[in-house]
Amino acid sequence: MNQRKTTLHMAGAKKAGTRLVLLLFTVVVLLPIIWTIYTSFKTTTEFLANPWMLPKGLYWPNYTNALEKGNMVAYFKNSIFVTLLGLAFLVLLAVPTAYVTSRFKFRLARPISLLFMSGLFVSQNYIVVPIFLSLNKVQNYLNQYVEFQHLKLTDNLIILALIYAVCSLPFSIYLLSGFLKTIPDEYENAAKIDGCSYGQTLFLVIVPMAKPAMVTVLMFNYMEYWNEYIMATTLMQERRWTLPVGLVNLMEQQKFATDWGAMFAGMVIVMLPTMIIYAFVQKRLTEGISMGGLKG
Amino acid sequence: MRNIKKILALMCVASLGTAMFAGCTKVSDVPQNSDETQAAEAGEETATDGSEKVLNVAVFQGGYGREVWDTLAERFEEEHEGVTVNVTANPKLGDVIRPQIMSGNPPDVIFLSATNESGVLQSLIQDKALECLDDVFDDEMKAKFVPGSLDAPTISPYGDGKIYAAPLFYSTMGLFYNKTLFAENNLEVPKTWDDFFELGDKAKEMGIGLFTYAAANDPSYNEIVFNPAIASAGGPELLEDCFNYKEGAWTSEPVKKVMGVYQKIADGGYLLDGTLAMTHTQSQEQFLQNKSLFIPNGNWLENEMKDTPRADGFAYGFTGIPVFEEGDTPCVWSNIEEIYVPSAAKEIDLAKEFIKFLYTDDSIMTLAESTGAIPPIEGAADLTKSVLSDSVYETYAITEKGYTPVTGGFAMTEQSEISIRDDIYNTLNSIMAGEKNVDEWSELIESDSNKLSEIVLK
Amino acid sequence: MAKVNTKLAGKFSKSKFQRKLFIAECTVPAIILFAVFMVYPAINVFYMSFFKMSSLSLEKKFVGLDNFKVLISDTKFWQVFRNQIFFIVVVTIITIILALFFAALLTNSNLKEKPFYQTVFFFPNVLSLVVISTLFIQIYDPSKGILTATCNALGIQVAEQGWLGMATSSRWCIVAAMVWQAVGYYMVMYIAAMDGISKDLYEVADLEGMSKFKQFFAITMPLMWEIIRVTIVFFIISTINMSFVYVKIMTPTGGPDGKTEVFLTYMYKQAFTNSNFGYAMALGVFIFLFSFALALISDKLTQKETVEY
Repeated sequence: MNQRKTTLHMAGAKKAGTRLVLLLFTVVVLLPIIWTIYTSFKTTTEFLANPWMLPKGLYWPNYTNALEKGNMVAYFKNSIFVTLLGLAFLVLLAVPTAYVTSRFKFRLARPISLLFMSGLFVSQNYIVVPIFLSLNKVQNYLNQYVEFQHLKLTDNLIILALIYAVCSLPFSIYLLSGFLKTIPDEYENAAKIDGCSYGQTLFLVIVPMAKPAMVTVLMFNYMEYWNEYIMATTLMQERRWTLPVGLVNLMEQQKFATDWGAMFAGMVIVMLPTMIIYAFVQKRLTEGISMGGLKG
Repeated sequence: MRNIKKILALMCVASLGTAMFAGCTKVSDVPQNSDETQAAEAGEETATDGSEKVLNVAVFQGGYGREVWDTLAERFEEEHEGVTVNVTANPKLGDVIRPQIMSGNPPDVIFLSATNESGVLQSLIQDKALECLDDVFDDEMKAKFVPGSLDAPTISPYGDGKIYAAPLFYSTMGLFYNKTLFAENNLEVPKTWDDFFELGDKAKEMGIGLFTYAAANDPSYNEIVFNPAIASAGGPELLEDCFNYKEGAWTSEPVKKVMGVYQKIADGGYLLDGTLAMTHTQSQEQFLQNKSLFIPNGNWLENEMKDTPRADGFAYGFTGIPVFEEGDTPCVWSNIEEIYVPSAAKEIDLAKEFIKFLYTDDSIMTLAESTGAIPPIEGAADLTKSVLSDSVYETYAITEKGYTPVTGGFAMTEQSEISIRDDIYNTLNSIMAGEKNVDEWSELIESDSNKLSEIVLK
Repeated sequence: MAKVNTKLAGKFSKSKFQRKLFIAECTVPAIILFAVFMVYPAINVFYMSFFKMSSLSLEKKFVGLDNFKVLISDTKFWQVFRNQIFFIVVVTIITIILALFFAALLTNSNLKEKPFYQTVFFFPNVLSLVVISTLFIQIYDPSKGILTATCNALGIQVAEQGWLGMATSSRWCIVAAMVWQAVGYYMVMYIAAMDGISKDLYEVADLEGMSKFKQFFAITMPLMWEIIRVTIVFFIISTINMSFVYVKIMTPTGGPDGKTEVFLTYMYKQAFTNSNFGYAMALGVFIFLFSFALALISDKLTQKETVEY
């Protein structure tokens, strides 16, 4: 009895210790963000005082400055568009390929998956310029023809989304294949007996089962697309910039204009929508990663 | 029966294929079928071209801001019927226009100086992709310019006297200080480096730094000190030799003496704390707060910092670079900012017209008024004196105080992995951090210089 | 009888054909797009590395392997190489250890606020790298940053020349930002893996009197080794790419004494600031081969018999 009590006590102490460590890291994660938020309301003179100090009031002109100078609303729309479209392209391309190469036995299965695997080592960052040059060549060629007179391949959000999707194919196929391999054959056989075509089997049987892995893949890539900076700066002109490009631009402007307030406000503007969305989907999100995991 | 099925299936595959390549086949069909429409459209285009021309002007959005360019564009539009001027202004202008240049659609006029990190002007020179501006610079025009200002390697890069970039702004750069702070503390503007370091000790007593600069994003602001100091210690010929990669120039005594100044700033603890992590505006901000006695800078400083809070009674003062021995020629750095026309531009004539327009008295006044910058034209400083602020006028008048302006730039070379400016100024940061010494510094630059001397553009 | 046979044969060949058709439908679009947007540009990088050209006109002059010869003798490049290795090794190790630590802590403790920690720790991942870099610049700022202010308040000696200004501290500043961002993500992944391990194993171990600490190395680690392996390989590649954005924004000049310059920032500098495009492409080729080799090596080194209980 007594011994039991002490173990309970010890467990309690342990729990407290665990909590302490976890809370410490919570502070490390949250503090910079909270600091950014309240600092964004400081006036220029308040910036010269102790950085920890709270602002005396809410100084909103920082936000109007950032929105006007930074054009953040438009960039936000562009970012959402590219990310969602990129994910749609990705699902359409990656899921069928991963399915076929991982579960069908045919002569080219291995070469195809190796081909995509090799793409894992090609970084977007150094194929940007060749892509840009080729797109321009094709565009100049196509522009000779009436139908394509006004076609733009660079500075085109749809193409950007497509490039994002293609560049993330290697990793996504690699991940999905790993998961799809673990699905027992019985499901497909059953589907076959029920008279499902291959396409039906894929979309009605396999895809729902692969949901966790797909969520993982989508999450990985959502972040890739949302954060991507180099491709967007190179391919897009000012009107079609995405949020990261806009923020860097705001930061550059700040370097010449010393408008610290607008700069912090800009950061909050970029963070806030993500924070709100995250608040809604976080459960699904972490669950998705948990369920999908990286099953070999 | 079986065959029919096979054929049907094959047709399916084929149709799948054509669906995929539909775009392509259509393309090749189009020109034959629709020559007419194409011609009509082309005609339409030339028609609009005739009445309406668009001039794309891309300008670096730095200390000078963008408003002045909008004003000038508007005036140019008024003077030229049917012309629209599009101004693109961006602090990362290089990143913005590089894709345009690569795709063969460059802006018509580019204002982005050779000292910018983007390297756009250097690339255009190396590729021989700049439009010759001799039309703009006829003899009459040339005569107006300050002697030497049209010979710089970025202005006339190929050594044939032809001008490929126009020197739009000319400025004299040196050390800024706060007149009020100096007066209150009985400090004297230094003539020699010894005076300078004496001030350093006083600064220490006052609990502030002697010197600060844009270490984190642009340590090359130090050319304002470094280059004229070399010219003053070893004569302008030595600086010339350094710029032309002459053997031994970078390991010569005078150069090492100049490098030693930085060593001394570092060793003596005269550098303002935190400088190495500051961008140019951050260091300027500290300077305005009386945290440092001196900052090397140019005449855009006042305009760039116009909205920044400063110490009470702050008054800009400006001086040249100290000398080693009394009797040495005191020097200041003068710099030219280029404006140029890529040869692939659509509106070359209009672009040249625009550059000419910038050199008219009216434009000079407008530019001077809002940026404080003037072109290297004889008498421009006096012309604009009424609209220049005192500190800015002082930068131009420094030559009257006995300071000789020196200028120049590294001889252009073929592509190389070496970036000698980076090596000089990033190592300067390392000196300041106490991580390298003068000998290592001068040897590194000498070895760069030897390699570059072999690939100088002729 | 014969009739039946043909029918069967017909059905068989039809399904075989449909199968092929399906395989083609599934793979061909992806392969074509992949070839257009990745393979072809990558080949182009190799191709252009044999030329001398600038970043703007791309007028080429064939120079054979000259760019690679330059690369071998370029002392700057080898410094960049060492920096990159530093980031790969340090960031990977710290992140994975912290992620495993927090994952183990959360799985074992059964705290009721576990989802809260998970949510918070994961949060930095939804922020753009650009935001994170900008945020950390502000934290490290010598006059406006909270780090210096805090150190001053606590009486801790601070880096006199600013955290990002000194060669010794600047790279650790970037490491901190990278770790801050990545820990949560890997933690969530590891938690998933740990949750997947049967509780029975731990109960048996408990009965045998094995400490939690020992259990971690005897049960948890071997069983989730496969996942750790995959994350390591993934992490190495992503570190090469992500360090680029951090460095480009936090230390635009490549840091004091070039201490934070990494592969891709150096490549960009050569391509654009230095207008030496051919050489930059040679660097690109090197980076490709390097990351490929590194991934293979780390995959081999971490290869163990997959354990299944």
